[in-house]
This record gives sequence, structure tokens and C-alpha cells, in this order.
Amino acid sequence: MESLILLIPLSVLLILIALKAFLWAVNSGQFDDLDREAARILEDDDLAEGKEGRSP
Amino acid sequence: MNTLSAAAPSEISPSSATAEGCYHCGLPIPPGEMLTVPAEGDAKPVCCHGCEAAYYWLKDQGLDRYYALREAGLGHAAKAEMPAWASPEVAARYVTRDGENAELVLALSGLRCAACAWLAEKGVATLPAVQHAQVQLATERLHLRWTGDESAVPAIAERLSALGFDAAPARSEAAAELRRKEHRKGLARLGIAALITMQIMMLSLADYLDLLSDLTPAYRQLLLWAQAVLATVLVTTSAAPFFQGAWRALKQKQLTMDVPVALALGLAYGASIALLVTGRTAQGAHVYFDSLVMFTFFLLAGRYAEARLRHQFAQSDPTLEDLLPLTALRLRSGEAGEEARETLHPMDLSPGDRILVSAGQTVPCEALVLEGSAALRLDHLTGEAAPQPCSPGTAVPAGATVLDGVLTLTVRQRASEGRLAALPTLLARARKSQSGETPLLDRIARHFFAFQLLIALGAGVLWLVLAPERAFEIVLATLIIACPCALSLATPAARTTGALALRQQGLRLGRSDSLERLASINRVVLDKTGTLTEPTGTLSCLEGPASAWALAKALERDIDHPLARAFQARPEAAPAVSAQRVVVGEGVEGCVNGIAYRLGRPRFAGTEGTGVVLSRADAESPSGWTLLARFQSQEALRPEAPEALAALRAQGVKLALLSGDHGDRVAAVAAELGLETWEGDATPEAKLEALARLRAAGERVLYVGDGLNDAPALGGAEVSLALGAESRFAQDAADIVSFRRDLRTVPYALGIARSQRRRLHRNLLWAAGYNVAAVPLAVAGFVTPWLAALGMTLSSLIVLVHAQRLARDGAQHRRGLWKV
Repeated sequence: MESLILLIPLSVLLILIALKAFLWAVNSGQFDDLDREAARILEDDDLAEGKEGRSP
Repeated sequence: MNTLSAAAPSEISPSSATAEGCYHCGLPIPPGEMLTVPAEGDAKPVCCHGCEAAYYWLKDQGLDRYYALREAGLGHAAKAEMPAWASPEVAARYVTRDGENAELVLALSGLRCAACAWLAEKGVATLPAVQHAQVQLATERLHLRWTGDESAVPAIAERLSALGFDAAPARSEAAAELRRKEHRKGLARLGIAALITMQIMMLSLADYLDLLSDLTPAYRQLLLWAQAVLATVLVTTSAAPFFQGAWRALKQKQLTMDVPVALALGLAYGASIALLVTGRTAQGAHVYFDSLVMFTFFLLAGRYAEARLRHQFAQSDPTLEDLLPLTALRLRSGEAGEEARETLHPMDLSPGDRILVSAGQTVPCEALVLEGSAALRLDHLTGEAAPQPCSPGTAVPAGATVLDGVLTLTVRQRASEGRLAALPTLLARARKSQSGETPLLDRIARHFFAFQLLIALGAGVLWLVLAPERAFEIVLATLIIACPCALSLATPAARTTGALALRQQGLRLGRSDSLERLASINRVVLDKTGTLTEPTGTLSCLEGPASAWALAKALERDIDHPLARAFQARPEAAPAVSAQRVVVGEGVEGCVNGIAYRLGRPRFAGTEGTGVVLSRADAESPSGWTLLARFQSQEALRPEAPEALAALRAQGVKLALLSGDHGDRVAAVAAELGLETWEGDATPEAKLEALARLRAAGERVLYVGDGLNDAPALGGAEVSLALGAESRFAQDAADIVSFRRDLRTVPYALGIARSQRRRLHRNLLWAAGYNVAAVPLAVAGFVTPWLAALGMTLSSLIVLVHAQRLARDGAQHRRGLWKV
């Protein structure tokens, strides 16, 4: 039972970190468009190219 | 989009794999294989059942334009048109420059799914200078960045047009940005509340389950302090808007839902912290953190759902900027007296300029009519539904839409001044008057909150007398349980799920209460051309010389109508046309080589009989016109029409056919479909009258049309649905827009509307019943605060789950109608 004295405050701290991560994700626009981004993973036609790169 | 769909099949099919290969995959047909599919008005061979199935699947999904697009290719679509706004001079106003790069945000219409978004992105990304192209499906925006300047815009616009997208610079970006910020804030608050609620529930569980009392006071204090930390985070972030809202309301001496909510939250939080700090919890006192967080979470969930819905409709709501046309056409007299036309941005117009505005376009600024006469639509400016006539000398307000004819106007004021500035308020007023429902709910709600506070106060006083130690707990429980959360969730939940179910079949709501009105209709009035029948895109010449084709093609230049497109698709070279004028529902007139011609309904062209008549001005003829040629457009019944009408009959609505076409052809279609009530030869005015008659007889009418020649009728019915709406015009006028050219979307929408109404009524009844039944229990002291929060939570959940089942109803309707 003694371990709780450490573990419970630790869990609170973890939650606060998780909240921070969630806020970062929201504010960087990751939840702005769920319809389009959900499908982007299925597109594999840019595998061979770099990020944002495309053959002219 | 229009040009391509009309032009591609006729122009490109000769080169496609028709006679020698499979229509779908292009492979050779195996000997002896006899499978065919009905495409392009012909039976085309396919090589196997797989290709046959693929063809039918595409067709069912409304994607058969794939075949036209495939042939058109990405790079060399023959008929891609550059919209007027894309000329570099005008586009410069919309492009933002950033060093060597230029950026542009386009609003795309015609986006339906992730595949469309993919096509738009990849289609543009293959252009040489483009670095970045990203579609936001939810907002229908395409964000573009490329190296260079606005001179690249024409190529981009052309490419999008070739792919079938209608693109225009996105202008209400400020409003969209605000909505995005609001959405992010709402989501952040909801997310924080969700995480913290789960944690606090977990920490409280030890307390709930401590049946054997082996939790020592010290450990209990530890758990409670952990809860207190998390609850403080929640109260200062997620719950902050409730306190702010309550403060604002009180300052204005008003009561909103925020007031009792803030009071309950404040009391629960303050009391819990006080109990904890004073150490009373160590002696077994209970805290209210669990009630507090559950309460906050469910309130936020309701608000988030409601805000999502509001944003969805706000996107289709025109803002001040959207009402201004993208371009203006200025007339300039040259030295030799000839007139030159130039396209420019409306903001660049100055008083005294002469501008040309034709049918379907919007007047960019306060102006005076110089030449021409036309009917104007002003309903978004004045709320007046009937079209207003204008003639030389009439002052025309900015934002008026020209319904027919071509006007030459003199600019009186710059576009940035004048009445358009007052528009947002006018728009808001028009929107409010449309749904008479909300103000009533608001009024009831205001009394409700006062009532809720009084009851909580009464309970407090009562219990201070009876048992002072329980008074606080009971006031808190009463405040929470009397909160009309489930009640306020019912309507937004039903509307969201209804709108989503419609969107799955390509239907979009123009107004938020369209579905509620649709649910109550008992008659469906259908247009014929473009709705029950489909022009096959070909015409035949019944009488007259072959040279008449070229004249007719000239008269129909640039006009957006299926019949006009059929003429435009003819191979003849068209001469130049001037003084072109569209008379809605009648036809077109114009001058070729100085001679006036009319093309349209026989009466309009000064003769009798059937078909589409081309006639020439003739002073000697009694009617003023002599007949040159008579055309007949070939049309075919939509294959799904009998099925769709049978479904509508099964839903118990009466049907009627109302068409501007010749009586004989209307009668033939009515007979084929077994429609008893029909009316032919109806002008747009006659259609409006017929609808007014039906409404006067107590019927509630849904009007279904294609919105091309019946825009006024769309406004004249209780509810209107525009089928396969390709013109902006129809999209604005109709309550519901069906992007799929499929008549079965009509019974589908009706089915959804009725399911939605049924579920909404049940939800309202349940939520109201819950509040009425639970409040006395709370006052009587049978409910603890955590039980009250749980009850509130459960009643809200039941409302949400019940509304969500609308999606299942939708799937059922879909299976019934499309047999998939």
C-alpha cells in the first residue's frame, strides 16, 4: 500500500502530460479534417517519392 | 463540370474501345461473349461479368462520368474551360504572395468523398510549379502553394475544371478561420473533460467500493487530493466557458442555461475543496468531484455536437463576401465606336463605369439600369420572394441576382460602399424568420431556468428546516437533476444524425430545419425534364434546313441548360451572337448578323405545335416571327423513376407532375408512370400558381426539380429538392440538394425525415418526462448529487444513442431502395 503514496501523484502527473499532448495535437490542426486525413493513409502512390515531392 | 460531362461522351467515344474492346477495361471481347451494358445511349460490349458488375456499381454510385473522364485524360481534356476569375489580373486579388511562392485557397464544389479529394489534389499536384496541394474535405477547401505568381492560376483553374470541379476563390476565410478556432477550442475542452472524467471516476471507485472500510483515512485523503488537482484543472479550463457565460448573462440581467450550471459547478467544487481543506473528509464526509466532472463532460459533449452542426450549416450560409460576384464585366467604348469588354474584380469598379450582368449573375454594386429589362431576385436582400422587374432607369441594389435577360448598368457606388454593408444583419433576420421554432424554445427555456433556480432554493429552505445537515446536498442534487441537458441535446442530436444520413447518399441540406419540414409533407410535385426524364443529349431536326443547327448553336452559346448543352455539342461552327437574352422557362433570343432570332417553346417563337422552334424576326408575319426550323430533344425516362415513385407511393404521399413541356409529352410520361395528376405547358408563373393552389387546399408540398428552369418554383413549395443540381442558382434556392442524379434519393430523404421526426419526438418526450419525474425525487431527498449527475448523464446518453439509431434507419432505407 505504501507505493500508492508515490504512484497516485505520478498518475496525476501522467494525465497532465497526456493532456498537454492532446492540446498540442488539437492546436496543430490534427483534428481539423477527419474525413480526408483518414483516407490519406490508404494512398500509396507517393511511396517512392519524398515528402511533398513529386515528379514534375 | 458541365462542359465536360456534356462534351466528353459525344466527342471522345469514337476513339474509345467500343466496337473492338470491353467498354470497361478495354480488353478484347472473348469470342462468343454476348454481355453488354447500356451506355451512351447504346449497348456497349463488356468482356466479363466482373466488368459488367464494375460498370453497374459505378453507375449506381453516380460515378459513370468516370468513363468520360477516363477518355478525357488528366492533361488534355478537350473542353476544359477557364473561369473568368482565373485571369491573372483578377486572380491577383485572391492570391497571397510570399517571396517566391504564391498561395491560394479555393472553395471546391463537387467534392463528395475522399476519392474526389484525392483526385483534386493529385490532379493539381502534377502541374509543374505546384509544390503543395491539400484538400480539406470538411470545409471543401483546396489549399495551394506554388512557385511563381498569379500567372499560374489559369492553368490550375483549367485543370480543376477538366476534372469536373467547380472552383472559386474562397472568400469568407475570416469566418472559416473563426469557425476553425471555435471547433478547436470546443474539441480541446471536450477532450480534457473526457480524460479527467475517466481519471476521477477511477480514483472515486476506491471510495465507492470500500465496503469493508479497510481504506485508512490517510490513503483516502491522498485519493481525494489527487481528484482535487484534476478537478481544478477541469474547472479552470473545460468549465471556464460556463462561468464566463453565466457572468455575461447576469451582467445583462438575463438567465441562460449557464447560470444554473455555473451555480451547480461552483457549489460542488467550492464545497468539495472546503471539505477537503478543513479535513472533514478525513471523518468520512463525501466530496462531489465525480458529479462535477460527469456533469461538465456531458454538457460539453452536447455543446460540441451542436457547434459541429452549426458550423456545417454556416459553411453553406453566404456571407457578405460570398454575395459579391467574383468578377465584373466592364464595357469600354473603343475609338471606332465598337465596344470592348474586360473582366475585372468588382472592387476595381468606379462610379460611372458601365457593366454587363446577365442571367444567373449578381450585380456587384449599387447601379442604375441603362439598357435591357430583366426580373431580379432580391429575396436575400429584402425577404421578398417574388421576382422584381426592372427596366432602364431602375436603381438596382448590390447583391441582386438577375433571373433572365442581360442588363447594362451604370455603377453608382463602389462595391465596398453602399447597402451590401448592411447585409449581414438582413441575412440573419431572414434566417431567423425561417425557423419559427427556436425563439419559442428560447422563451420556454428562460422561464425554465428561473423555475429551476426557484425549486433549488425552495428545496434548500425546506431542508434547512427539516434537516439542516442535508440541505446543501439536496440543493446541489436538485440543481443538477433539473438541468435540461437531455432536452437541449435532443434537437441538435437528431439534426446532426439526420444530416449525416442524408450526406451518405449525396444529399445536402440548405437550411437547418429542412428535414423537419420535409417530414410533414403529403404531396410530391415533380418536374419532368431533368427530373423524371433525362435528355439523352441528342436532338433531331423535325423540319427546316441543315443550316439552322449553326444558328441554334450560336443562340445557345454559354447557356447552362441541358437542352442548350445538346445544341452546344453539335459539330457545326456557330456564328457570333449579340443581344443574347434568356427568358426563363421559354427560350433564348439573340441577334446574328443583325437579324433577331428566337429559339424555344413554340409560343415564345411565335408559332404553334411541339418541339423546340427556331424562328426569325419578320415584320410581315402577324406574330412578328417566321418559323425556320423545329427540333425535338430526345429524352428517356430515368431507369430508376418507376421504382422511386413506387417507393414514394408506399410512403403514402400523393404525386403530381408539373412540367413546362408540351402537354402531349407530359401526358405520355404521366401515363407511363401511372401518374393521375399532371399539368403540362406550365410557365414558371403557372408552376408557382399551381403550388400556391395546392397549399391553399391544405396540402404540404415537396417540389422536386432540377433547378434549371424552375428556380422560382423551388421557392414556392413547402420544401424543395433540387436533383443533380449543377447550377449555383438551384443550390441556393433549394432546401435540399441532391448531388446524385438519382430519383431514389427523394424517397430516401423523405424516409430519413420521417424517422428523424419520430426519434426527435420520442427524445423530447423522454427528456421532458425525465426532468418532470426526477425533480420531485431530488427535492424529496431521495437523490444524492452523484446519483443526480449519473441520472443526467444517462438521460443524455439515451437521447444521443436513440438519435444515433437514425443511422440504422438510414441503412434500412438504403437497402430498401438500392437493393445493396
